[in-house]
Parts: sequence; structure tokens; C-alpha cells
Amino acid sequence: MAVMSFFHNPHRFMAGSKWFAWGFTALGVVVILIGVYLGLFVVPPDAVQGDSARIMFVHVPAMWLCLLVYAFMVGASVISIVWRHALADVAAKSAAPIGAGVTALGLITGSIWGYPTWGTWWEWGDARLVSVLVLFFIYLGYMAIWQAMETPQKAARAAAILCLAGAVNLPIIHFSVEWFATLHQVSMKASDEFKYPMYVVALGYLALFGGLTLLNMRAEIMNTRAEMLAQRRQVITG
Amino acid sequence: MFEYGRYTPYVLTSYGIAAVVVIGLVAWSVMRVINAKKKLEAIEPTKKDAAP
Repeated sequence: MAVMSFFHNPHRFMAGSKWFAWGFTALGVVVILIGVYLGLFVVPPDAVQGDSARIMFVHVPAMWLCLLVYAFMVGASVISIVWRHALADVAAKSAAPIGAGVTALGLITGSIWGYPTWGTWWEWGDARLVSVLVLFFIYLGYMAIWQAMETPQKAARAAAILCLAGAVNLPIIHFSVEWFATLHQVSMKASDEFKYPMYVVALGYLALFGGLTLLNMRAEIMNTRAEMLAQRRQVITG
Repeated sequence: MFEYGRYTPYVLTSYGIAAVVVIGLVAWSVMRVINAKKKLEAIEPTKKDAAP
């Protein structure tokens, strides 16, 4: 609560976030590169799936992150609706394109892994695949609402409501492999040497998400301030 | 160096797409910050403007 009220002032946020934004972005890129190196060159092929399992090192962390980003947006939307926090809408709006990007990455890499493993790029009857696709469309819909509404206030309210409604999809995605016996297998128990690069890439994605969200929030605040000053100047000059 | 048997094209394509998405998101975010900063600097009253 104290942190929330401290950052209620965008000036304080701008002053405190600059180095975190660039620092987390740089850290994320470096950690992802380390994870990719481990995944491509250090870890031996999987006993069952062979080298195709290396795709998991970029696919699985992307799937974790797309759920996490959405959960972050749900939290921000709740804060926006309940407490009307000035930065909550900005945070959710800034996170959405990153969430859409990692969801697309998860879908595409999953499809590429699926072809040599399952013999198909896509299966419409699979609950996990379709529910993640729905999540991708929710991200797109959320971003479209921000562009479509007349005022930022209306857009923020409508986008927050859509975000909360879309939260029902998160448990569906998570439990889909248990509730529906379709193509996608349940989570595998991987060996420690196999988990290690996956966790490294996941940490890298997480740091990158933090950095990019802060960068986009900063851009959003600067754009809003520039528009406000332009309007004020227009009123003064008539 | 990048030899993964019959899975080579699948593995490399996946990592290539991951690189494109990560680089794309970073470049897009950095460009947004640079453009927003330029826009704000162009309109924000500077000390020079405020001087009598």
C-alpha cells in the first residue's frame, strides 16, 4: 500500500524508474543469451525427444510469461477499478503488447515443436492450444480498446473490465491438460540439467518484461504530458 | 556447430523467431521512449523560454 501511494505521483515514478527500466532490460537480454547458450550448446539431447526438446527452452518460459503478464494486468486492472491509481492503467496498457508478443512466441514455437513430435502444426480440438490462442486474441482486443474509445478515461475503464473478464481464461489454460484429455501432454518431470536452462531463460524473460514495461510506462507518461502541454498551449494562444 | 540431426531446422527456426520477438519488443520499446522524449522536449517550456 505504501509503495502504491508513493508511486501515485507520476513525477516520483519517472524519477525512480529510469535506471530500473534500462537496467532490467539489459539484464534480461544478457540472461536470455546465457540461457540460449546453455540450451543450444551445453545441455545434452533429451533421452525421449532428442534435440527437438531444445525448443522447450524458448517455448515453455514464453508460456509461463504470457500467463504471468496477464495476471499482472489483472492485478493492475483491479487496482485501477478499486483505487483509481494513476499508474495502474498505464502499467496494464504498457504490459499488453509484451504479453501479446510472448504469447505469439509461445504459440509459434509450440507449433514448430509439435510438427516433428505430434505430426501436426496445429490441432483445433486441443484445449491447451485453443485456450492460449484465445488469450492471444484477448491481448489484441485489450490493445484495440485503447485505440478505439473516445477518451483515455473511457478506454481505461473498458479495457480494465475486458481484462478482468478475460481472467477466466487463465485457469482454463493452466488446467486444460488435466480437464481435457486432448493432444497436449501434462507437464513433464524434467531432469535438473534440463530444467536449469529453462529457468535461466525464464528469469531473463521476466527481467526483460520488467524493463520493457517500465520503459513503455515512461513513454506513455511522457506522451500524456506532451499532449497535455500542447492542449494548454492551444488554450493560451487561442 | 548447430547440428541437431533431423530437428536442426525446427530448433534453429524456433530460436530465430524467439530472437526476432525479443529484439522486436526491445527495439519497439526503446523507439517509443526516444520518440516520446523528443515530443515532450519539443513542447515542454525550457528555462530559456521562461527567461524574461
